[in-house]
Amino acid sequence: MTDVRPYDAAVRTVPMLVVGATFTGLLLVLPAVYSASWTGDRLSDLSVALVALPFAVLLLTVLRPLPALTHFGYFAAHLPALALEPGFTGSDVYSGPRGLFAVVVVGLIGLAWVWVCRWSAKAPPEPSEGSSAPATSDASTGSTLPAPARWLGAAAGGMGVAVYAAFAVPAVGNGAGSVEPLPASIALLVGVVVAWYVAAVQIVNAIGDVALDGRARRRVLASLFVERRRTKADIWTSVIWLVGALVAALLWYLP
Amino acid sequence: MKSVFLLLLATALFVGAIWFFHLCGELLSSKDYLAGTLHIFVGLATIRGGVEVARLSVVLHLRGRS
Repeated sequence: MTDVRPYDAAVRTVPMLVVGATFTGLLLVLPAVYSASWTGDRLSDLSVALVALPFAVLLLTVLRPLPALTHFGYFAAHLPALALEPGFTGSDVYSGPRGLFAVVVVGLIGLAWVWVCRWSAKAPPEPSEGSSAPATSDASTGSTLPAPARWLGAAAGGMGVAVYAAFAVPAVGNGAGSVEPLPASIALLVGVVVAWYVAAVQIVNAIGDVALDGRARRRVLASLFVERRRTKADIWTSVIWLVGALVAALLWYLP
Repeated sequence: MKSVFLLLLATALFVGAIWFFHLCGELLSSKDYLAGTLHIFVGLATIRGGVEVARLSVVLHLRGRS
């Protein structure tokens, strides 16, 4: 039987993703944006791939939150990019009081990552009343999260990263120095907000309840029986709207 | 089978939403803030549609389990 408090299990993975993405963003993405777009230096494809490496490890830590991965592998994933691009930690990025402040913030968020990982691994999902055992756990991984919750967290994190990348890639710019700092900052800021909304609100909340809570599934099925009582006119109206929207989108974007 | 089809449809909608967000990023980066803002709403509406389809897929896949 699944646990009736699904959000507790699923949402515990979200702080890991948020803190981890923030740490990697401050340590690698922002210096990369700075050096690639604002100083005129273009990053190589290898550098871009190495900047993305910690995000891949971050998703892996949600699926397999082994201590070796969370406490060592995730931090080590930043080193190749930092070694290849010394400018990320150079005086252009960290200098003066602001540089010191940036170092302190990055260090504190690194500590927050360790704390969040330990908290996420220790906090077990509370069993519901009448339930003899909590939801399925995977003892071999050292995690107390039910497997669907981990997959849901990974899906939410993947969507969040994809949405953020969709905003970040144009903000960084295809050509060096092609994007001004203010529009780039606005695009990145909007990307953070939209990625958070999509991952935490839409994916975790909307899909999490039906994925982890049997009562929510029964509610959806009951509503579906009501929705089934559609007339042919309703269906044809929906089809006409759908075709019209697709044609409008094609006419607008394809030329 | 039906749940797999719905899951593929949801994935297609998610990819479409990410494309709209990419357009939004391009528009915001080129200082076209109004068009960028409008594309955010288009992307969020597409995400919402994908989430509903994904919910349906999950419900059909897990039907019968309490």
